[in-house]
Amino acid sequence: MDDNDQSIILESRGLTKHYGGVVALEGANLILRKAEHIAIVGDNGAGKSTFVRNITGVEQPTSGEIFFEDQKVQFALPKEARNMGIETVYQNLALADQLDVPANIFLGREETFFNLGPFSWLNKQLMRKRSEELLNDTGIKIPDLTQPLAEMSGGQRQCVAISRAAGWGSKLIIMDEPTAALGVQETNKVENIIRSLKEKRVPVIIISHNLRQVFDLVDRIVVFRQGRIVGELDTDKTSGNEVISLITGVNQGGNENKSYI
Amino acid sequence: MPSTLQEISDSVVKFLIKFFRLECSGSLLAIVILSISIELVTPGKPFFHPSNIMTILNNSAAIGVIAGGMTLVVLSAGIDLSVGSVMGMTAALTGYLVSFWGFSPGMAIFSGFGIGALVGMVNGSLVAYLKMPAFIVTLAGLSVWRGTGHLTTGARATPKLPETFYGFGRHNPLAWLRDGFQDGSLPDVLIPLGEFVDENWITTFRTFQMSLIIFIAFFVFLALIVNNTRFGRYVYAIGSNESGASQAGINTKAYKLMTYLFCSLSAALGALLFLGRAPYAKSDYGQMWELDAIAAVVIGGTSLFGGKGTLWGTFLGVILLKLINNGLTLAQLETFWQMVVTGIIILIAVGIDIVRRSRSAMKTQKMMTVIAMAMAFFAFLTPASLYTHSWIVVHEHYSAEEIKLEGGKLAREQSKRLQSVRNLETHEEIMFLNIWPSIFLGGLVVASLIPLWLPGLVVYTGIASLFLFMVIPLQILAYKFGIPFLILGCFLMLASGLVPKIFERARNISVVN
Repeated sequence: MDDNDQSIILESRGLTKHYGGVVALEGANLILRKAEHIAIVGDNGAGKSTFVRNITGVEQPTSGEIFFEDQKVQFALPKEARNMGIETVYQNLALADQLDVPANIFLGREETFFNLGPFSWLNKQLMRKRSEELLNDTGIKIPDLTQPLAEMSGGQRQCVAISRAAGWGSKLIIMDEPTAALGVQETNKVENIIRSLKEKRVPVIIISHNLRQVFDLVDRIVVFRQGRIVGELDTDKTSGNEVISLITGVNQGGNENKSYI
Repeated sequence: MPSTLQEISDSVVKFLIKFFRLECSGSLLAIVILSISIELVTPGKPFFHPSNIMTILNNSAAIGVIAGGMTLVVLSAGIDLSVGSVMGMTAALTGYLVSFWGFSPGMAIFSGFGIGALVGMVNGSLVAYLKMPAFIVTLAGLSVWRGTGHLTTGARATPKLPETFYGFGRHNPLAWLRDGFQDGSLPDVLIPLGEFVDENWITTFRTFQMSLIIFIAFFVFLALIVNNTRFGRYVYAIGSNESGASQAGINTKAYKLMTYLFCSLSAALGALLFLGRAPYAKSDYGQMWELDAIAAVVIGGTSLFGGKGTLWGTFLGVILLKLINNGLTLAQLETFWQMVVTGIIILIAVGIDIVRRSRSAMKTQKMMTVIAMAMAFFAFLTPASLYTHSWIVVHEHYSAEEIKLEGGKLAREQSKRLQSVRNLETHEEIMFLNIWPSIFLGGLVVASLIPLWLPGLVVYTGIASLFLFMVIPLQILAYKFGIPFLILGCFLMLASGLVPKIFERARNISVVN
């Protein structure tokens, strides 16, 4: 049991990304273990989103290696990453607002009766049933599954996006600023869902600017600055000030008694 | 006691929410109310008779299928302005191939569709793969394909088309039953059926044509595909959030190409349906049809911004447009008014779309007030246009007379403007008859704007009763055709006044739920 928990699910060695002359990411070495939740933090432009794009197949790294479940992988397309069980919840949610919940959860992966390419007949009943089960599993309450997403609150839409990732992303879920646009109550709901994912032993990477959230949810904090990983801290052994020192590069010693959370 | 009243009003509100969530509900309501009004206002001319309804369907078939194809493109947040030109070009070329190149009708029709497919591929490739703006590509297409149509056929009409073409339009599939019954050549088992058809020929079966069969079959087919296949769902997804759809792994480029392909093929089908009722083929058919198609799509509730709307909505939009045109004709207005009215309706429909997206009670209320004003305007059109027309005639007469008096020579056009004394009298009488109704109805148009600044149930009810009051002068003057518009306007004003209460009730209900 312990061995499983310590085994590495994702590892990047020397991951580097250059855009022409700009070095967006340099020598990123990161390890993620099963059943572990980590947060990636850093200032704007520090390389967090670049890192995520390069490990999910949206972009291809300039150099470096990625290992997923102890196998070397190279994702040419996001689809390849998804096929391996890696799901991303983007900041813009990538949801079709005019479609309803089951349509969004199954977007791109519809259940059909027979396969005729574009003219395959959709099995709407099955998709609705599976969506209900999925939403129950993640503890999200949506009263009317036929409602288009545009009529729902930001929090509900975020929950649908996370359910979608959780439903398909059995191996790893990456979330980019999951509660950035939400109010307190909805942030709470989303964070509870993330905790339930931890109970289900699904590894999660969260990019967040919200240090309070980070300290509440994750086991380890990885700090990026100017394209490099400048520190990895265990949540229960560090403080807000130490994290901020690493993010900004400025010693926060003078602010020892002040809270940034 | 109050609680059951509460329950009843709650279920009414719930029903309203469900009904108006449907995008085509507006046009459905408008069709129902307009049809009922037309029926009431034209006694002796049966409106709801099957033969009349079938006539409307027959006349709408060609533009209808084109609007259907356009719906697909608009759903994916695109637009196709070239459909009218493609229709004209394929119609002309099909006729030309049959008449002058010795093609069989089947081959010519097949070639017509081939040309439509080619145009669709061009449009789709430029828009989807080269990422050129759809508006520009299809606007250019409008010009290019119309010109090509004229060039290749010399812009002359073909001789009369072979009978085969009627099989796609005017042919009545039940005619042989009737003819067979009448001359006794029907097999025995079919005689009762033949008798039934013959008895009800004039009221029901006379206008049953292939046009409407193909029209309805096309929509049934298209609706099934759009609602139940991957293609349909991806069209909606791309219209709703193209980058999101792409992130979900959907091949957005291929699907967009398919919508343009389908749209141009529909234009070719529209050409065929038109040829089914036309005596000959000519390259200037279908001019301005893209406008009517877009109007039908938008009126049917499909959003120009993509992702929202239904095919049956477009079907209703096509029918509503035809009804309004028929109505305007009955109201003795020149056909050019149809262009003005169609444009106004497009504006209103887009306004409704924007207001619906905003989901704000105040905006909905204001929008409904504006629509009621448009209704008053449509009622105002008959007396006002009659008055203006006569005024212009009289005025031109006196100007021409003045030129003559001052000794100037009159050009031929100017001397045509001189009227006989009797004509002058007629026109002046028309002006006299119409000046007060025009002023009153014009006042109604202005008055219907008052609630925009003074919203309040009392004001709304007051203006709504003004609408009803105006029915009287129209009835006296026998301008019965404006009456349905006034009734519709009255409904809208009342509903407008109730909007804030309904929204509030709806919000309370959903919070409780």
